[in-house]
Amino acid sequence: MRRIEVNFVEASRPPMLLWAAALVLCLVAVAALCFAWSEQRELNRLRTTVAVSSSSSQQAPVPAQEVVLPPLYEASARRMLAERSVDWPRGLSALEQVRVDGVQIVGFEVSAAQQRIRVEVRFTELKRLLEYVRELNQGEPQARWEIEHTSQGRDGEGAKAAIFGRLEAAPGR
Amino acid sequence: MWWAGSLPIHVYLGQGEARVAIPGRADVWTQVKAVSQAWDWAVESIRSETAFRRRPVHVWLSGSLARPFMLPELPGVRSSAEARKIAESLAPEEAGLGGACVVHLDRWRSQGATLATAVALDVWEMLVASRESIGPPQSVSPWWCAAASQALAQGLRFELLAVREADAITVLGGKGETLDVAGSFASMDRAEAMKLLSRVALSAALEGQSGMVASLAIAPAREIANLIELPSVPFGAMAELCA
Repeated sequence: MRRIEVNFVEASRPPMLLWAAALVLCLVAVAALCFAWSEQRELNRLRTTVAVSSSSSQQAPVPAQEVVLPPLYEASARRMLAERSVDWPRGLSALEQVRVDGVQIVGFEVSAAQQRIRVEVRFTELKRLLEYVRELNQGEPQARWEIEHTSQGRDGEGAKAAIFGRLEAAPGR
Repeated sequence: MWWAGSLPIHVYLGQGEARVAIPGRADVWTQVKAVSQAWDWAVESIRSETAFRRRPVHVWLSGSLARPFMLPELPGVRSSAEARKIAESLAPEEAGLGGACVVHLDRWRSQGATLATAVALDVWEMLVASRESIGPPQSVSPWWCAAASQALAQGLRFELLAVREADAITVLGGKGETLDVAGSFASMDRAEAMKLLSRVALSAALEGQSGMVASLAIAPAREIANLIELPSVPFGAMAELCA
């Protein structure tokens, strides 16, 4: 015969669901206590830090940091330095030395920042323009002057072209 | 004894007697005419001895107050709560208590019969109502359950058991892990109990199996030779194995 267990009180005990709910509530309470304890600890740490920093600031005031502003003339000085660092007189003398019939300079622009000269010319024939560019590049190990674009003129004014030439750094800079 | 203050108090209730065992003091008992009178006497005995401190109380009911019966398999019933309601409706007739009952089911399963134990509702309410004076009982169990459990715990092997008390004899039987027979009968002497066991064994197809008669420790039982003492059973018990 097997073992028999009869207890009428056991049957009237609260169901397992109530025990589980009580357990969950206990766990939540413990978690809340742990959280409150850790928060209190962090608060105390911050209070200590604030107290220490305020006491040290009363003893030795921290000097204000100096703000260094760039001088007002720096931008123009840098621009002038960049223009001087480019050997643009050499480019201009090349333009003075080369002359080709049918090609006439109508304007030029020096850009020291980009290290280049942009020249606008009027030409009668494309062959003359190519000859002009070839003469400019004469004696250079690499082609320094290139045609940027050409445009046909109106009412007998002749065609126009834009030529740009790369500049080198000024010697000794 | 200083440690006795934390030990539980045992109360035995029957139709005609009541016993109280308070650790550190001698057991006391009295004869009564009704169970309500027995409980009043027990409560007063406990209060007089433990006036300043409540202690856990285990209540043991006699076989005439806590009557077992076999609840047959209930097809379609899925929960033990539902099975208990059905058992409570069957208990007045099956257990012969004649009124509303509270039922405890032992290891109810949807397949197979289950051991049910019924207590009259007025007795149960009487025990619960005492929580104001001595606190709620820690347990309310039939005494025959303690006798059977202790006999098995002591290594005794039997298929049929008759538990004799002053007001009833309770018979339990089954092979292995199953229980097939459970019932309460009017009190009878040892020889009649042996005959009852034989009849039950025949009707339940348990003839040839070992049987045992356990008795609440009373003076006449001690005169029989070859008795096995079950000392851990509250108020003591004596057992006699029989073929």
